[in-house]
Parts: sequence; C-alpha cells; structure tokens
Amino acid sequence: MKKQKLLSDRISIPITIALIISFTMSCGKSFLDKKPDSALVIPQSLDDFQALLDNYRYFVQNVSPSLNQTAADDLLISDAGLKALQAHERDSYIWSKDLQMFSVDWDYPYRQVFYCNIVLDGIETIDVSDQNRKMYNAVKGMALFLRAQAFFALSQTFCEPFIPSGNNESLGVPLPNTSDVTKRFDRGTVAEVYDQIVSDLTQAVELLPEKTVYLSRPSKIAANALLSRAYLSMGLYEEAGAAANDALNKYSTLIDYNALNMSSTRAFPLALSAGNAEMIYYSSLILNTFSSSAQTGVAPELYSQYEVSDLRKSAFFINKGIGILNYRGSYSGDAYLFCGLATDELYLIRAESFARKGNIAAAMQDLNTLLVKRYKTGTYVARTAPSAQEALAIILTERRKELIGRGIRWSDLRRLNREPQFSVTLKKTVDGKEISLPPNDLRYVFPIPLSELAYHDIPQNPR
Amino acid sequence: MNYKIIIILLLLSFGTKVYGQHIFKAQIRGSKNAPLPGALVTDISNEKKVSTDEKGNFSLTSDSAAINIRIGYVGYKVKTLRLFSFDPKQVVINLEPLDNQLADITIISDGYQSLPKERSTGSFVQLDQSIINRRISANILSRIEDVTSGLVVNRNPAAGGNISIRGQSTLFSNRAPLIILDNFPYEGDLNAINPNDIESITVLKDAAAASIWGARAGNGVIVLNSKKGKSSEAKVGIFTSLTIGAKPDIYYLPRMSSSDYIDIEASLFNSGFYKDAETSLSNIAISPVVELLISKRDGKISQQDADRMIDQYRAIDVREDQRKYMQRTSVDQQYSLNISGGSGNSLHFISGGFDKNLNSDVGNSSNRITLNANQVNYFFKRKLELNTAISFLQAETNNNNQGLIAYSYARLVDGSEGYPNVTRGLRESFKNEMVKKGFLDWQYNPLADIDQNKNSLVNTEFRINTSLKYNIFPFLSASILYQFAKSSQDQSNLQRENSYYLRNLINQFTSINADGSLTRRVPIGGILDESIGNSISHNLRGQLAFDKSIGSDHNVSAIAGAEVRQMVTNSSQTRAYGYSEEYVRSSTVDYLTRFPLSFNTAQFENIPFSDGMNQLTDRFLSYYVNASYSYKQRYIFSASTRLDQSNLFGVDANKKGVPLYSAGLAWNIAREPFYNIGFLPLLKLRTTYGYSGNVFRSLSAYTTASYSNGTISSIKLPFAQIESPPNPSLRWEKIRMVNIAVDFATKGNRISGSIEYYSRKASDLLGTTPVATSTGISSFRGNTADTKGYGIDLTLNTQNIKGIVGWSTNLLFSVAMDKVTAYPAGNLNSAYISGGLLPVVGKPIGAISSYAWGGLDPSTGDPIGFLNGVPSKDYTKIISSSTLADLVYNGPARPPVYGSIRNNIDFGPWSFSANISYRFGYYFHRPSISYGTTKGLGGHSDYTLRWKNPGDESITSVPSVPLVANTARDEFYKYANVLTEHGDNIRLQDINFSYQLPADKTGKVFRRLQVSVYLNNLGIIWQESKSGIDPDFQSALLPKSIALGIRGDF
Repeated sequence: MKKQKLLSDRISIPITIALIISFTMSCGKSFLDKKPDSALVIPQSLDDFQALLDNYRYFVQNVSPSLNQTAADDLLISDAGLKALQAHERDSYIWSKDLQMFSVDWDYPYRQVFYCNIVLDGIETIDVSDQNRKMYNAVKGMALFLRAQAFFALSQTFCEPFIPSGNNESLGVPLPNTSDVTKRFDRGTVAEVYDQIVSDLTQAVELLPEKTVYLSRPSKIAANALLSRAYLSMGLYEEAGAAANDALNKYSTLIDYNALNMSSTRAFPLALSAGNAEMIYYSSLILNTFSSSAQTGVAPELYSQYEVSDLRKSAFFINKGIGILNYRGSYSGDAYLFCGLATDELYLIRAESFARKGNIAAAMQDLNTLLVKRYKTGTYVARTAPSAQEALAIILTERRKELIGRGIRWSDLRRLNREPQFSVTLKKTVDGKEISLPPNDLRYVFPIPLSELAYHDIPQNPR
Repeated sequence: MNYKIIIILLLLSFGTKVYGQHIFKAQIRGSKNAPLPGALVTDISNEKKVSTDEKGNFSLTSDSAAINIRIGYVGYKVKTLRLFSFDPKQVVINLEPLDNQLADITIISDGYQSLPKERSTGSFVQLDQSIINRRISANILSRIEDVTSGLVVNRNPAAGGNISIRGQSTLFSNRAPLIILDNFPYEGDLNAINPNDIESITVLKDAAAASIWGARAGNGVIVLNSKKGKSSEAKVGIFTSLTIGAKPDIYYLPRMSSSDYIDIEASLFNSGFYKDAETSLSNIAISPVVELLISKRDGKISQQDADRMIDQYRAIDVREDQRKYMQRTSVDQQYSLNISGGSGNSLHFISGGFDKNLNSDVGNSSNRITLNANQVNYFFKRKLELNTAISFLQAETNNNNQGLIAYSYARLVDGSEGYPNVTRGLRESFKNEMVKKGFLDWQYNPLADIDQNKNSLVNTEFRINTSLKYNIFPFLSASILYQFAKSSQDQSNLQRENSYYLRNLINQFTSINADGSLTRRVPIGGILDESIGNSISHNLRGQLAFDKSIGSDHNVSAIAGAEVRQMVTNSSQTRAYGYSEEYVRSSTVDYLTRFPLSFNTAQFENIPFSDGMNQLTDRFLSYYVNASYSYKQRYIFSASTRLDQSNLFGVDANKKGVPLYSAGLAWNIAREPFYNIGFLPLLKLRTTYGYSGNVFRSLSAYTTASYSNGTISSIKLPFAQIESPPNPSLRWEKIRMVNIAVDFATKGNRISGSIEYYSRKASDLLGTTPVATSTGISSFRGNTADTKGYGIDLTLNTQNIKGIVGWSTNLLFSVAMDKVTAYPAGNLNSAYISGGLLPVVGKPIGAISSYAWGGLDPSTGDPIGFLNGVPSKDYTKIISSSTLADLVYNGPARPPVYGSIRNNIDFGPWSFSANISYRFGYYFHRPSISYGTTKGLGGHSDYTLRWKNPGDESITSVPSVPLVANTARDEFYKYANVLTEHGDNIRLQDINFSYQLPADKTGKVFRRLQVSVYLNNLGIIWQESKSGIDPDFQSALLPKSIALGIRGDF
C-alpha cells in the first residue's frame, strides 16, 4: 500500500508534465494565431480598401508634384528668396542643367499607385453581391481614378509631351500594375502612359458614383473632368471638350467672386471642411519653400493683365507691403496650393475646344459665363472675337489668369510651345542677369531622381 | 588522507583532555554549497589550527564561549568570523571563491540547469560576486563591461546595439543579447535591476551554450541569478555607496565662437538672407543681432549704438551660463541590506535596496527601490523542493530639464534682473504687440522653465517565481516552474501653466475678436501628458531532468521540457488640457476644428491631439531536449535540440517554428593515463557546432496596414496606412556557430585561462534594401542577407606574485571579425557613405568608407574630390555617380580587436585593482563645419580654421565658405577621407582601492567590513587619432567620478 502511494507520487508529476505538454501542443495552433500587434490589419474588406484610399497623407491631402510650378513663369521669387531655397528648388526655378531631382515629386505619385494596386489586387478576392456592389464599384473606381491621376502627374513632369500627330515613342514612365514590389517595370513609351491613363479613367467613369460626400473622393464628374484635362494635355481637343461637356452637364456651378469676403486672410473657405462650390475634386501640390515663401509673388507681366475691376486681383493676391504680390487664392483655403478639379477649368477647356473647332460663339459664351463671375457686378464687358484664332488667343490668356497657382501652367507651356503662334521663351531675372528657357527645350522634362536610377536600370532624361 | 584523520583525532583527543571547555563545530562549504575537505581553520586567539574532514566538518575547543576563527582554503578567500559554542544547530560556513581561479569547479547556469563547467562543452563566462562587486554603479550592465571575455559595450550609437557578444551576426533584427533573470527571459529595462541583488552572471557565447534558448539566442545570452539563501546561518549584509561625478565637459564638442556667429549673421543679413523671415507671414523669430541690424538699417538706432550692443554680444557664450546654472556635479547614493538564514528544511533570503541619483542636469534625478524575498522549502526528506520568490522594483526618473534651445550669445541669467528673455519661435516685436493686446507673457527662459516642467517616469516591476521540483528517483527529477511578471511604465509629463511650451501654445491658439476681446482655444492651465504601459507575462515550464552514473565510467545527464510564454503589453497615452495641479482636474478642448493661428491667421491647425492606445502580444511555444554523456570524465559529448514557435503575424504555420540544434565534444586530456605534463594539471579541449536564431516582430508575409483615427485628416474619416508590403517568403534568421577551445591551468593556478576560436555563418538575415521608389516603397525588408564572422577570445589569468604582497593579472583579448557575404543592393555609393549603415558585400557590418580627398582648390578653397579618377569639384556627380570602387574604404565602424587588462594587488587587508580597456582597428568620421544655407551659422569651430586666402590650402583642410549654398559640397566634405580618423584607443577605465578590516578589528558586530574607493571613467591614456575626440563618446564624454563604498557582513 505504502509502496503504491509512493509510486503514484512518483508518476504523478511526470503525468502532469506530459499533460501540460500535450495541452500546449493541442492548443498550439490557435495559441499562435494571436496577432502580435492589435493595431495591425491585413486589408481584406471593402472598408479596409476604402480606408487605404482615404489615407490622409497620400490621398486626402492628395499631394502632386510641384517642382514644375516652381519652374513655370506665373510665380517669381526675389533674389533674396531664391537664396533661401533648397538646391533642387533653386535649380528648378533657374532651369539649371545640373538639377538633381528631389525625389518626393517622383515618390509620392508612385506611393499612390502602390496603394491603388494593393486595392485593385485585393478587391479581386471579394465576391460581388447586390449588397456590396455599389461600394465595390465606388472603391474600385476610386483606385483606378487615383492611379490615373498619379500617372498623369508623372507624365507632365517626367515625359515629353504627347503629340497627337506623332507616334509618341519617346520614353514614358514605369507603369506598375501590381502590388508585388519585387516586379520592376521599364519606362515604355509616352503612348503607353496615356493609353493607361485614358483606360483607367474610362473605367472609372463607369464605376464611380454620380456624387460623393467628400471632395477627396472622386465622382463620375471628377473622372470626366480629369479625362478632359488629360485629353487637353494630349492636344486631343475634341475629346477634351466632350469630356468637359459630360462633366459640366452634371455640375456647372461657379462662385460669384462678388460674394467673397476679401478682407479675411484668405478669400476662399477651407475646402475640405467648409466646401467650395466650384470644386469637383480636391487635390493639392506638394508644399515647398518656393510656394510658401513671402518672397514669392505673381509675375508683374501676368498681374498687369488683370483689369481694374477684376475681383481676382484681390481674391488671388495680397500685398504685404514689400512690393511683392503674394498668391493667396488657393481653392484649398489654406497654404496648400489647390491643383484638383473645378468647374472654372472645365469651362475654359470646353471654350478652347469650341474655339479650336471654329465655334466662336459657343467658345465665347463659355468664357463669358465664367468671367462675369470674376468681375465686380456690372463692370464686366462680354468678350467677343472676330476670328476663331483670336478667340483662342483670348481664351488662352484668360486660362492663364484664372488657373494661376494650380500647377497647370507647365502642362500648358509644353502643349502650346508646339504651336508657333503660342510658343514662348520663358525669361527670368536672377541676380541682375536674364536667363531664358526656349520653347520645347529638353529642360521641359525633369530628370528622374537618382534614388530611382540607383536601383532601377532605366534611362535618364537628357537635360 | 590518513594523516588528516590522525590530526583530527589528535586534536579531538587534545580537546577532550581539557575539562570544561566549549566545543565549536561547523561545516565549511565552497561554491555550490560543496563541502570543502582539508580547509585550514585557525583559532585566532591562540593560532591553533585544524583541518576539515571529508565532509568539510571541523571541531575546535576553547575555554571561551565564543572564538574568532580564520578559515583558509586554496582558491577561496580567507574568511574570518566569530563562532559561538551555544549554537544549537549545525553551523555552515560558506567560503567565497577567489576571482577566476576555479575554472574547474565553477558551476554555470544557463537558465534551465546548473552544471559544473567541467562537464560542459560550450563556451560560458561566469562572473561571480567579487567581479560583480568590483565596480560601484547603479546598473548591472556596467558590472559586466570590460570583465567579460568576448562582450563589448558599444558606446557609439552609430555602431548599433548596446551590448554585443562576439560581434554582430544580424543586420536589422534585434541585436541585443537575450537577458535571462531567474530562469526566464527578462524584457524590462536592464538598468532597473539592482546589481546588489545579483549573485552571479553567466554569459553564454557559443551555439552549444546558447542553443538551449533557441530562436532568441543568436546574439548570445546573459543569465542573471538573484541571491538566494545559502545556509541556515543567520546573516546580514549591508552595502552603501556615494558616487560623485564631475560636471560634464560642455565644451567637448567644439563650436564656433559667438563672435564668428555674429559675423556670419551680419554677412547673411547683408546678402538679404533674412528678408524672407523679416517679411514672413508667420512672424518667424529673428535673433537679437539681426534685429539690431534691421533697426540700424531702418535708422531706428544709430550705427554706434548698434555696433556697441552687437559687440557686447560677442563676449557672451551661452555655454558658460548653461554650465553654471543648468549643470551640477552628479551625486549617486546606494543603500542595500540583505538578511538570509533558515532552518533545516528551509532557507530564505530577503533584501532591500534604495538608490538615489541626482543627475548632472539640474532638475533631473532618479531613484529606485528594490525588494526581494525568496525561500526554498524541502519536504519529504528533501524529495520535494519548493522555491518561491517575490520581487518588487520601483524606479522613478525625473526629467524636468528640457535642455536649451538658444543661439550662442544668449544670456540665461542677467545680474539682478532675474531671467532674461531668450528669443525663440516668433519675432519679439510680434510677441510684444500681442502681449499688449492681452496675450499671455510670451518670453522664454530655459532656466525659468526647469521649474515649470514635471516630467517623471515611474517603472514598477513585480515578479513572482515559483518552482516545484520532485526527485522521483535519485537520478530523475521533475519540475514545474512558473513565473508571473507585471511591469508598468507610467510616464507623466506636466507642463505647468507658466512653462514656455504652454504659454506659447495658448497664445498660438488665441484669436482676437472684432471688439478686441480674446478667445483662447487652449484653456489656461497646465497640460498633463500621461503615458501608461503595462506588460504582463506568464511563463510556464515543465521539465524532466535525468542524471545517472553507470558504473564508474559512464555518466548520462539530460533534460527535456516544454514551455509556453505569453507577454501582453498594453499602452495608452492621454493628454489633459487646462490641468490644475491643485484640484486635479482638466477641461475640454475642441480637437475637430482647425483654428487660425495667431501668428499667421492664414494658417489653420488643430489643437494637438495625442491620445492613443496599443496592445502587443508575444507568444512562444517551445520544446527542448539537452543531453550529455561523459566517459571516464575524459570524453564528454553533448547535444541539444529545440523547437520554437511564435505568433509571428501572418506567417504560414509551418514557417512559424524553427528547429535548432547543437552538438559538442570535450576532451579532458589531463585525465588521460598517458598524460604526464606535470606543470599543466588542467588541459581540456572543447568543440561545439550548432544553430541559434533571431527574432523580429514587425514583419509579415502579407500586406499589413494600421488604422489611424481621423483626427489629423481634414475629412475626419479614419484611414489606413500600409505598414509593410507583402512578403510571402519570410523566414526566421538562422545562425550557425562553430567553437573550438582549449582550457588550461598550470600548477597552483599560476597561469590559467582559455583560448577559444569561433566561426559563425548567419543566413536568411533580414536585409533592408533600398529599392526603386517606382515600386511605391523606398526600401524592402526580406530574408536576403548573409554574414560570416570569426574570432578569438583569449582569457589569461596570472598570479605574478604570491605572498604577503599578491599581484595578479587578468587579460582579456578578443578578436571579432565579421563580413557581409550576401546583400542585394544597388550600386549607389552615397548610401554606404552616410554612416556606413548599409551593408556592403565583402566588407564588415558597419563599415566606414569615405570620398577620396584631393585637397583644397588653391584659388577658391573649395574641396576637391575625384570623379572617374580625375580631380573634380562636381560634388553632386561625385556623390551620385561614383561607384563603390571609387570610394576609399577605411575599415570597420566597430572595434574588431578589444579587451582589457586588470591588475590586482593585495597587501594584507589592502587591495588595489585597475582596469585598462583597449579597442583597436576601427574608424569614424570626425565632425567638422557644415555650411548649409546659413554659411555654417552656429556650427563647428573648425570654421575659424577655414580657407580664407590663397595659400591657406597648405595649412588647412577646412573648405572656404561657399559663395552659393551647396549641400552636396557639405556632404562631400563631411564624408571626405580627410575627416576619417582611427578609433584605436587605450583607456584607463577605473581604479578600485579596498581596505578590508582585519578580523581582530571588526569588533564584535561585523564578520567582515570592507571600504572601497572607486574612480571611474578616468579617460583615454593613448589614442591614435590626434583629433582629441573620444571615438567611443563622440557627442559627450562620460564625466569622471569618484565613489566611496562600504560593505559589511554581520
């Protein structure tokens, strides 16, 4: 008896241990399935994908390349201001051949493409039903729209312009279409880049909802508007006009600048929280020292083109008493420069399209519809043009005046420089010396950042 | 043997002859409680001597009821103590081993088992009490530095990691060794452990030693064992110390003079540099000198007045005030008390410690309370052993000193006027104007601010360890161990209403209404930021241990077990606005609205929101077997295997686990019958082979994202952010190590030591590769890298002089070479230059390379580099397009050769010990002037050495001020070969003087009393570089310190 008790004592502990081991082994699977960080998710649901596309840093703020704005001729900086700029901004401004590209202008659009591809790859695993079809389409359409927007921004900075009559076989930019980061894409051709943009946007038009609650989420109207902007940059004026028309048919509100409160620091409200009646879709330029410097102001040659009763003179510019007219007219309502989509741009695109087709009346009507909202009530004299050519010239002048600070000028210069009557040699005065940029110069294409070239064997843009 | 018995019999018979005498009996034990036969016991009163018997027992007689005895045994410290005849129970006296003399009877502990070093095949370093106590310091890390072969404490943060054992194997995973405290991994702050509570430290270096800890052992393992009750004799030990540290050397980092600073400001002003700030919409701060220049230009102040005031500034160096008012000598106090004892079937140990530390920064301090109690109980004739231990720790750190933000000619104290204003943030004219309108005082003074901040971190730890061990058979035991640990880190940062931060924040969010009244969006009151972190861990282990000798020739010992571990860490941060200390209450704020800022009403911001929470869970499931077989104590074979599984996020189940194993062989040559080298009684050859691993937590095979609440988003919607791109082939890192070693000792341990050679191959290492950003990411982390390494650890202990004066030397010498053997990377060199952080195949991990230097251009003072072998000043091109081959490779950033020499001199009760450490064969980039866009304003004092006129290029290598700001030129010079320095140095680390009161002077109270004086951080005694920069302390030197310590046992 005693011996038996002893024996049971002796074996009880090993049995306990064996039990512990078998217990841990049997529950091991689920025990090890616990997430190490509760905050982490594997994006799988439509809500997750929507949340990725609502990312504040990459999509809501929606930052687009801005060095081309620095290089353009609408805004100029004083010599003192120029000295305080970072090298890449200064070299962009003075069209230096030695410009080393600041990589953000390249990285941000590709970061956006990466997010879009994660959504586009992931959404394929979701079963579409009647319950979720609406959201499914909205999310997929949004990803396509955002990807097209990023590719478009890249094309305006890093590719030669599209030539409607050409074969467009000059170097494009990589067009990743997968979330697999181990894949590399070569530069392809300019034709392929625009094919992709148009194809993504055409699909987005089908998928996106008619209306969205947030200005940072695109609607069908926004997709048409972006398509219109893309066609315009390609010189496909017929298509640009048609897309603008599609958008304007659904939404054509313009702000009457007479209603603005010019005495407040900014004439326009904070768009993302308070809204902006003209705005179709919110996007902004990467904030850089050039655009935020107190030493940066509108080019005098451009400012002189605004007439006395033009309300934009005070809505857009402010004189802080140092002889520089700082730009303050961003539709964002804050320091970010708005570069998204708005009805004013659509009127101008449609007007240009009409003018190029020879429909002077329609062209001038669109222009006048817009401009009457920009002048003090009762002072606006409707513009007329004796010829289509003159109509076009007026529209292009008004286009530059209206769309200042929107990151559009560079695209327009690239496009219009192909037409001898509109081509210009840009001139700036730096430290008392005049510098110039002839039309169609190689420097209209920015160099690809070295951080890309170091790890990716693709050709650099000549400069 | 026989003669001992005769002596004892003689003594006993002698004792019995004397009538009425008291008998004193005791047992002498050595390390691991082993009885010491043949120890010499002397009655101090009459120099009567006896030896202990086979069981370590002795007996003495005397006519007094208490006697003082002295015990001596080879390899142990001489011990004197007082015995009482009426002691009813068996008295056990433990002797303390001498340093490093017990290579063959040391007991090593790896956290799973304790075994004699003799029976091991692996590579261990054992640090005992005398080594641990040699230094006087508040943290355990300093106690192992420079006394552990193969271990180096990296002081240069750029070299990565804090402690490394035998160099580095991993690249981007956790580089810290695994810390085991009382059998289980310790995840807390190593600095929190009270070194006075640590009995022994074992460092596990090779695969056989460390593989028992499996996937987390790749960086080596440090095993800490707390003090425990060792004998039933009641004992009390005390220790107290006072350490005084010098004020830090604030001038160590050379900075340009205020006069140079002002000259640059003037020159920038003349070139129109401050135009932008002057006209800025945001009212950016403008320094006092520039304000004077503006006033002068605008005619608001006369030229003479301006120049006079500016010249006054030239004489001011803010560091003088900083040193005077913001720094002090540091004072550290330590108190520790322990009580141990027990009865036949139980032993206990209780200790308490208190540390108080006044930092060298005024306003910063820390204190720590530690309490430990443990007990072992034996039941059923010692068949069942129950260990219980409880420990508590609370450490509080106060960081009220927020440092200094000021230009070099700022004044912190201004005669009788109190605190002068230091320009910061916004323009003074704007601030004054606003204050007139009712804004809060907007002045800043760093000194006044110290009292306005109350920043404390309280770290509390609570651990319960229990283990139950049952000896089923004499050769088989089973045990269950459980540990519960809870630790919390409560950080509280109160910024009072009058702190600059708060006044500034309130003012920024104040708007002026049309009627001139003010609206404050941030309420008046303090801000209390609290961050609370809690981690709770459970560890459960079941283990069977087998140990049996078969015949006299064979011995088999083995352990097998399983363990499960979970650690859950919760953390949260909250902020309370309008906090009132008196009433402990706060107010609400509007986080959602973007308010215009007072200094630029065109700029809108939200009131800063900093609440958040987080939960992390670590789970491990492990199985292990460890066995060894020895034949005739000559040949020992060991093997171990372990399987670790963890909840690594999203990895396929089959890749979650990693099986690791090791094998080892040892040969005690000295025990062979043919061995007849008399002067070398110990000669042992060991070799091991095996694998260990490394853990990383932040990666997953799938795309992972994290959610943010939408506070910062303009549309207030929650959003997600990609944390890591998909990586389907993610695996655990694996490290293979081979170790070959010889242990030796000459007769009488005059020369003893070991020499070890190891080689290591690490594969599947996580490598971060910069990738083309057109992929959407800028770097990618995957199992892409391999490294290789080898090294030598030599330990040599010599007793140079024995006798009245004893002199011994301990030499540690280590070589740790490593090399990257595979690393996918592009061909961009600049990534390798800046800090040498990117691994280069064929080069050490962390290599220093630099740009070839072609001197200064004699006509402009521009630095000259090389492009395609031709001198060039096209810095942008040099940086961007020259290849790796064009760079000058200097060498490793971490010392491949290091070690220390410790000399110990004993003379009666006096002892002296000095430790000299050395590090060789590494490089660093010396700092120099970087001009930036501000002509080097406030930069390095090399500015005064700059090239100014043609001809200077022959006397200086500091480039001229560039005509146009050129960041590429700065970058080139920063990493040019001319600034590369050798790190080689020899340092007198510390000196310890001790006086141990002789037994006859300790009085009746003390068994032992030791007084020590300890000097630390004595500084470099030789260095290769002439730069005057300590390569191991490049940003700030550790101040010299002196400590007085008293240790007593009674």
